[in-house]
Amino acid sequence: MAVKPTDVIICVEDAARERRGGIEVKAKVPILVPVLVSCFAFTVLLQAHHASRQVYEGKTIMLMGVVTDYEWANPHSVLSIAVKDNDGRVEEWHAEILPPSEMLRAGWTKESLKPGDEVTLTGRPGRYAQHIMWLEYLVTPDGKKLGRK
Amino acid sequence: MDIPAFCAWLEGSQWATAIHQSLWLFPLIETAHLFGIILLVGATSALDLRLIGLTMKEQPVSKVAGRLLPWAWVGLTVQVLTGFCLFASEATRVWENSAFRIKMVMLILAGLNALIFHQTVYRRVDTWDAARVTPAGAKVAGFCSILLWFGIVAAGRWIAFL
Repeated sequence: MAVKPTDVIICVEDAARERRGGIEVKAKVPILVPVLVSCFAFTVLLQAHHASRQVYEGKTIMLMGVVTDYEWANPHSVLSIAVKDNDGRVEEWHAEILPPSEMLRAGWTKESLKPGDEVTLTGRPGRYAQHIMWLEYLVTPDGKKLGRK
Repeated sequence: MDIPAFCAWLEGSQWATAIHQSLWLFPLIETAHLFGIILLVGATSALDLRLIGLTMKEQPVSKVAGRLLPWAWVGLTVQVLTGFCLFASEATRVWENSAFRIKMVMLILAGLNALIFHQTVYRRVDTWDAARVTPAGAKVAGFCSILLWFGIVAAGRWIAFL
């Protein structure tokens, strides 16, 4: 007999357990544990990924710097820029953008940026790691705004 | 050659770079990797449920295993091939990813679980083939298998968030 999701609920009652045979029903409980844990884990994950709140903060910051690397890549492209902090030290930041297919749709190309370009980035900094950012949009040297669709 | 050096060499290869920078290849391989896991875990889980004693109880265990395991092997082949391509495209980052390492450990455990089951309880399957209530060893193997494969899927998904 096939196991239906409803079996578990029905079998909570003693009468139903009686009808279906006790041993069989008891064995369904351990199966439920990994199933429910996994369902829960996936729900949390999907929400986290969608809002990227697991990795990045909610507030945005603005950074000015010089492009050191523009990597057109999966699972998402990465822009690296050299940023001078208040004490004059140069720090390298890495901004997560989009996968190539979505980059094209949002108006980016492989040639949008090159090392040496001065850019202004707006995005959300990493929650745990330093000098990483979820890029919302940037402004190129010729005043063009590139972001997410 | 140590592992970080191997990772650097692998992701620097022409084909791995092509996947890394591709427009459609990476998403296509990712999608194939999803179909593969459906095939693999779908087949093993159905057998695991029979071993635990939750489904197809009127069917001999050897018949269920004989029908399902070939599909599990097809799924595993798809997973190894597509998984290696995905790994190669960003080998260094993935190697340093703790979810990936947990996934690999669980994969080894799932393999050992299957191996031990086949070498012990399943070797005597003739004596319990048609039993509705399977031996404890079979139940444990089935339960461990389901738990490990669910863990492997979850850890695999988790790689993207670390």
